[in-house]
Order: sequence, then structure tokens, then C-alpha cells
Amino acid sequence: MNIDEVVAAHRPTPLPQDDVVGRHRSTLDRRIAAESTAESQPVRRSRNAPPAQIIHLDDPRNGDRSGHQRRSRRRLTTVAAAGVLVLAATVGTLSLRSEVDPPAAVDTAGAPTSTMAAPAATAMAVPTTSAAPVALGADALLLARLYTLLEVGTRTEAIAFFEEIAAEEANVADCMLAAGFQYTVMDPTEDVTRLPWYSMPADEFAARYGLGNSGAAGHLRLFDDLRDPAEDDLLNLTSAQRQAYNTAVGECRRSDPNSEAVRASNASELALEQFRELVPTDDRIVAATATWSACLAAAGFEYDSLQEMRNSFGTAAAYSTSRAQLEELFADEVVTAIANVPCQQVFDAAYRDVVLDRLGDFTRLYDTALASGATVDAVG
Amino acid sequence: MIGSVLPSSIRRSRRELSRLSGKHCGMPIDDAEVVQASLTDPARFGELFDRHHLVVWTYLARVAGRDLADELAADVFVVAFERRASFDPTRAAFRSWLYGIATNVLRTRLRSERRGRLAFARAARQVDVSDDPITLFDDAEELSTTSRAVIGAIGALTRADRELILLFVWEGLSYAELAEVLEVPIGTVRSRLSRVRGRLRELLPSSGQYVDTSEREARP
Repeated sequence: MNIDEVVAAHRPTPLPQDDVVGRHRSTLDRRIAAESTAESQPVRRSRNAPPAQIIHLDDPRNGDRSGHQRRSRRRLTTVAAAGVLVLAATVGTLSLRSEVDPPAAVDTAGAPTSTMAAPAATAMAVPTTSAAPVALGADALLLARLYTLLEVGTRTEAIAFFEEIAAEEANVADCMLAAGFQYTVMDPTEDVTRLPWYSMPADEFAARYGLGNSGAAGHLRLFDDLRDPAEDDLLNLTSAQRQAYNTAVGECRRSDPNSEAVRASNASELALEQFRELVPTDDRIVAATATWSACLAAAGFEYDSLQEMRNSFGTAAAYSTSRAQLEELFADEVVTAIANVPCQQVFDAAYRDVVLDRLGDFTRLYDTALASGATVDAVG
Repeated sequence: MIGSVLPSSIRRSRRELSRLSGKHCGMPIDDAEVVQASLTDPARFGELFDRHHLVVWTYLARVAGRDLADELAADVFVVAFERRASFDPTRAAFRSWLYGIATNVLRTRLRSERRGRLAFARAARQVDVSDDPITLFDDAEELSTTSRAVIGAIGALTRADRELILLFVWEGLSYAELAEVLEVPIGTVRSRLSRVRGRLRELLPSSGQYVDTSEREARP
């Protein structure tokens, strides 16, 4: 047998549950019904009309795009560009932050949505060597954590945050070594240098990566070279070794599920999720969003929220079925992202102010979660 | 011509009968025709779901595990429905086109998670083993040592490599179809497959159960 035949001989034939098939069919049927309904109705274009694929109304190539995906967007040119430049000059020093990811896009930053490892959440935990809960009195460090986790952190804050993680990770690495596994801990400054949303000026990032990883840039694999070098630890592990690795990581991180450190981790994770929901409801954020929307509209792009803007490109990118489509979409995204830079800097400054002002709310959420014995399962 | 002397109502019926006899009364309608029909009658797209859902779900399950297959297979068909006007049957079979969408949907999902993970370095670095192919066997307890070794080797591949080898060996796509689905030149498909085979040979115990004729016998 050749290697292909060996693999072919071990082909599993799993079957989906009946309810899964029915659920999937219902999802498709709803989508089909939506299009059928839309086709029987007069064409309606609204700023709030879902969903979200961007088109240029003045572009004749739009004839092949589905009507329901259309949304109005005006591409203004020199007049709008001049307006953006004026605004950029006005607000250019407001934020040191170079990332352009919107703080309102809370869908992926911290909440695990599947069996994949939780990303940010455990980073909110106190070091495993400490029995104390999150040091809420240390406002500066807490703010650095929050700003970074909420994606409005500066480079300096990110380094502070990563240093904290590195200290925790060093303990894990020692523990993993004792368990027979290599576990590389990187220098936090190198981390920040490696990640372009911290290392690049915002306008340079926008020109190169558009709106970031969740837009077309991700599909074009522009971030693939950002692979965590420490992932090399995992490359040569067999499936069984990976399982053992996972078990060891879990044991090294949280050997005692009832320990104060784990309880603090769970509580901070839950508090963060609740805080993410709370901040956008603040009147100042509502006003800042309106200001942001007007700023971007002045540049010729109509969106009601940062999340809507990001989702529109993310959706369109996911729907693209060829590299040519992606590249066309990415060109649009870059234009939008560049226009967005000064607008979002204003928004981020307002967002940071609100986070600072409502720090007490976070501590209350944390205390409540800690008192209620929040578990990881309660998060997300 | 006989038809020309028939009453118009009968001629219409004959036309309809002719259409029906060619399509709905025995002769299979190919996927491309259904796609075309769904442009004016969207409900027809449901037929394609019935034909291909199992294939799509199974592919996702093999590459990424049951949970993600349960979560994403519906998205594949919604995306396919949205993009059906761009389907070009001269470039790829509908099923291959679906594989491409499934691969993109899966990558999109993983990328959105990775965005968060990258931003936080190794704060929660842990291997995802939920997609271990061995979990796809209902009788995993009874698998032979050899089977476990093979499945384990597949599970140890990177997800991209696993996509490639499984699309080729388990799903039966040709080099040309792989190139279309993965949007890479056909030469890249060949070189990547060669590399993946080499990786599998490294991972599998040298029990002498196979000989390396893969490259010579590969499909065109």
C-alpha cells in the first residue's frame, strides 16, 4: 500500500445528528425565504438594511451582486479626502494607539465561542503564584489590562499587559518542563513589536492591512507570518502527545479549580464580558459613535457603528469565492480604513475616557462575579 | 409539423410535458442546472442542500471535528446560496465549489478566533484537540494500533496540510480540483502533497505496511 492508500483505508464516516441536518436546512430555508420575500417587494435601500456587502453605486460591475447585499455607499473623492486630512490634523495626537480594530467589536477578542482555547480571558487572571485576587487598587495596571483587552490600548499599555502575562507564563513553562514539555515564553516587548497593530502607526496599518484580520486581509493571509513562534513547540507532537500537552497545560495553569487564583480568573473573565456590554450603552459612547459616523460620512462612507463597518467587510470577505474578488474588496477596505483612522482615534479617546470613568463598575462586576463563584462555563 | 396545427393550449401542454419529461420525469438534473434554476426560483436551491449536505458536513467534521461541522455546515450553504450567481460550472463541479466555500468558511471561523489569540500572545496557548479525527470513529475503542497510528498522524498535521491530504485522499478531489478549491497553482498542489506525504511517513511507524508509490500513482 502506498501512503495515500494507507490514509484512505482509515477514512472515518461520521454522520451528523438528525436534528443538526434539520437545523441546517431551516437556516438555509430562512435565507431562501428572505430572498424570495425581498424579490416580491419593491427594492428598498436603507442605511439600516441588512446585510452587508459593500458595492459602489457608480460601479457597473455591481450588476452581478445580489440585491439584498446592496447597501448604499458613496465614494467621494478629493473634497472628502481634504476633510479627512483636516480632521486628521486636528486629532492626530489624541491617541498613541496604532491598532485600528474597533473596541465595539467584542465578538472575538475575549470570548471563546467554541472548543478552541480561550484567548484573552485567562490573561485576566492573577499570577498563579499569588493567592490574592486581581489587584483592583492598582488602577494603572488594571487600566492597562482593560484598555488592551478592549482593544484601545497603547503600545506601552500592551507591553505592561504582556509583561504580566509573561510572568505567569514563566511559571507555567517551569511546570511544563517538569512535565516533559517545552513551553516557550516570549519577551513581551518582542510580542508587541511582532504584532503590527501595536508596532505600526495607524495610517500605515490601515494602508497595509485595511481594517485588520477579520476583513479581507485575513482571507488574503496577510497575517500568516504572524504565527506565534512558540507554536513550534507543538509542531512535532502526535495526537496523543497533544492531548498530554493539553492536560499538562491545564494542570500547570490551574491545578486547583477551587483556588483563589482560578476563582479570580473566572470572575475577571465574566466581569470583562459584562463590562464589554456595559460600556457601549454609556451616553458618551452613544454620542461618540454618532460623531464617528458623521466623521466617516464626511469622507463618503456611511456606517452607523464601527461594528457595522467591520462586519460589512468581514461578511463580504467570507462570501468571496476567489482571490480576485478578495483583492477588489480589500482595495475598498483599505480606502475605508484610511478614512477611518482619524475618526476612530476620536472615538477611541472617548472610549478610553469612559472606561477610566467607569472603572468602579468593573470592580463591582468583578466583586459580584467573585462572590457568586463564577465559573468558566458562565462566560461567553 | 404536427405541433403547428394543435390548439395553443395543447401546444403549451406539450411544451410543459417536454420540459417535464426531460427534467423531472426520470432524467437527473445536474447541479449546475439547479443552480441556474435557483436564480429565478430560489427555493430550488434546497435540492442542492439535500444532495450535498452530508458531504459538506462530513468534510468539515473530518478536518475540524463534529462541533465545528455542526456549527458551520449551514453557513456553507447560506454562502453558496448567496454566491450562486458566481458559480461557474466550466471551472469546477458544484461539489468542488462547495468544498472551496467550506474551506473558506472554516478558515474564517478559525481566523476570527486567531485574531484574539494573536493579540494576547500565548496567554492561553493550548492545542485544540477537538478535531482529533479519532473522535470521528464511533467504535474508536476498538480501533487497531495501526489505525490509531494513521489517525494520530493525520491529527498531528497542520490544519492546512490536513485539508489538503483529506480533500485528495478521503474526498477524492483531483489535482485540478484541489487547485481550484484551495486557490493555488496546480504545481503547488503537487509539491504540497509531496511534502505532506513525507510528513505522514515521518509520523507513521516504519512497520513496512506500505511502500512509497504515492507520487508515481497520483491522480492527474
